[in-house]
Amino acid sequence: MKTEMTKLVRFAQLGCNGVAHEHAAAHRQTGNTELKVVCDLDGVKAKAFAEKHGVPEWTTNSSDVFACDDVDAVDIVTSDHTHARLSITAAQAGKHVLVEKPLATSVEDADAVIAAAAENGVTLMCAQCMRWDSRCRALTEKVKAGAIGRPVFVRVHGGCPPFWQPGNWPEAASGGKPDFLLFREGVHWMDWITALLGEFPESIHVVGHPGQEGVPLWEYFAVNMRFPGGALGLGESNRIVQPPGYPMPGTGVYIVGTEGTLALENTTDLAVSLHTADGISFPGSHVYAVPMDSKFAAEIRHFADCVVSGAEPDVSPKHSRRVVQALLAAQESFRCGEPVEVKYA
Amino acid sequence: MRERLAIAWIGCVYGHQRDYGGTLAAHARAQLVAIAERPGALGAHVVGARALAAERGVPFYEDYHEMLEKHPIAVASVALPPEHNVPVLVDLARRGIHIISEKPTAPSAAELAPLGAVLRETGVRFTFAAPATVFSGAFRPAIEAVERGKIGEARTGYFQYLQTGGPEYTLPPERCKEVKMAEFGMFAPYGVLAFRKLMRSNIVKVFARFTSAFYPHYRENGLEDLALASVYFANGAVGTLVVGRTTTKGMPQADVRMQIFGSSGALNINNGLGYAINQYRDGTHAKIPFGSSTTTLFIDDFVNAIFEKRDPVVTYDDALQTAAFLDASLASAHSGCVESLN
Repeated sequence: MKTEMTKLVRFAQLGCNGVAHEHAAAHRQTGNTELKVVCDLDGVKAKAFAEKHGVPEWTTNSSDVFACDDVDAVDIVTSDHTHARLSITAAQAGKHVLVEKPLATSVEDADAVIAAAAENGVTLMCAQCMRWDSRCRALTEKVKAGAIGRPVFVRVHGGCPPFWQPGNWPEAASGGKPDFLLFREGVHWMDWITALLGEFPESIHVVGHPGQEGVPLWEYFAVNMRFPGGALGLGESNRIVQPPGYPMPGTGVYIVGTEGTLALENTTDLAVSLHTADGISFPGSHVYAVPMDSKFAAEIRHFADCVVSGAEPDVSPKHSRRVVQALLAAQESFRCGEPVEVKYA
Repeated sequence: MRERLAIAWIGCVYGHQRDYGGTLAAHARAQLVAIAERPGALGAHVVGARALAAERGVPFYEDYHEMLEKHPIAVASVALPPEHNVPVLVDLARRGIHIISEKPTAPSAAELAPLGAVLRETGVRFTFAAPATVFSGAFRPAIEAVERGKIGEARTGYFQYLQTGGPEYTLPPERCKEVKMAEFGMFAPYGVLAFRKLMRSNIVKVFARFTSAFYPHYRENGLEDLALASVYFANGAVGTLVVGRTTTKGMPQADVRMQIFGSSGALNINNGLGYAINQYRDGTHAKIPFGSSTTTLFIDDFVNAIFEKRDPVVTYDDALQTAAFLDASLASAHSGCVESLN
């Protein structure tokens, strides 16, 4: 089903926590979307959220959203374990689906979501905001343009507050699983690295550290990957409590190619540095700043464009499914302490 | 007049003698008296060593035994291929000659082990040439900060040593047929030392991936020019080590980066951006620039250790742990499994 729209794609947003605020704010910047209604199980929270972001309506019942003729698409910003169920229901109601990462928490659920979207002719995209981070886009563009030759090593690292504390950690969202962070944060860099390289890791090995006492969720994971083309990758999910003054939030990216190196420094100014055979030396004019705009607005705008045009989003459902599969393999490696080989359907 | 140590260079591979041997020879309490090779050395090595002797104005001996008969040598700077290194080191140690060795010191930890017994018996001082992550202006204050408890107990560590500017200084094709490891053996020792000094715990297990990303003559011989290793420490900390020799131009000679997150602080070392240490604690951010006297400090420490009859900062135990790490990493790269250090 292709939605007939003249100007704006009309959205309902499910979920009012955390990054939901970023999404709601972004809808005011896209130029091609309109947030009509927000939904949360907590009515007080939904009402306050709607008032804060100028959303006309709010509800505590997702069925109201799915039945609403004034809504073309849903923006699902709820807990990970609800993504698949809500996405399927939305698709069956004929709503286009923008769902926060991960697409699902199992491959079976991911397949069910993709099937529901296909059967109902709606556009489905997993919200991978790192794809629309202007610095990361600059890196991708440089790599795709051949600035460093063929990438042979990629490292993505960083940390992201708020940090957990004993008695203040996401018990409900995590289910108390020690490797929650591996999936939650890993979905960012797993999607980005695999999109950059155009392939998925065939072997994954994980080391981790529990971090502080009193928090049952492990706070650090380093995922060591080998890709079919021979490239090596390292993704780090890090909630180790970092001291005041440490630059946050910060995503650092380091890419070595056969003809040069690209680095996005997270511990200095937020800039991309390019090192190539041109002989540009460090430090110097090769460090160039990338203008920052809202990655969330860019992401939602792209999705809305795809809804209108019928084009497949840059973050394809098949890609997001494989991201889920790779992260499940990472969790398996964490549990068994050995590398895990992955074969993708 | 203060005593001066009689210095000999034995073997001249890898440019070791121009850097470490040269700094030792220039030390105020040392004097280069002769240069020698090992019996059976390759012709090219003999030619190179002979040329260095002529340049330095000291006698050259094709067999170091002959040199030792004619000169009372106190310290030998040894740069031989690792498969020929240990027998010479053991011989020198038995004669009471102190040693600076090029890295890798041995093809395996098992082959290095006999040297330890002789060093213990004789009291000979031994060190090996991997000072960059111990004596450099970046790492000295970092080690000091860790020793003073500035970041608490280290929990995670990332170490990167990517030599740039290849293919210059890659192993020649004929040498590739003789060795079992290429750039990992050359640069991983820096990481092992950095981890030992900064994580303050021994590496006990490793999972390593080796790849030939850059140089066809490495690929043809199954040798690595890039490696990614996950490491486990005895105290429960974990880390990652990335080493290799890239083709990137326009960067520092080596792009060395290290991040450590501890229980009460973080350290970030980065020579790529012109300053070395970023120390974050209690809302303050201290930047400490790199120094340039790494080799001098390394040699000073070794010479002082000889006169003061103490261990140098970089010890035989460091060399043994490094060799064990290389063994386990190579085994892991081949087996595809996590391997323990023996």
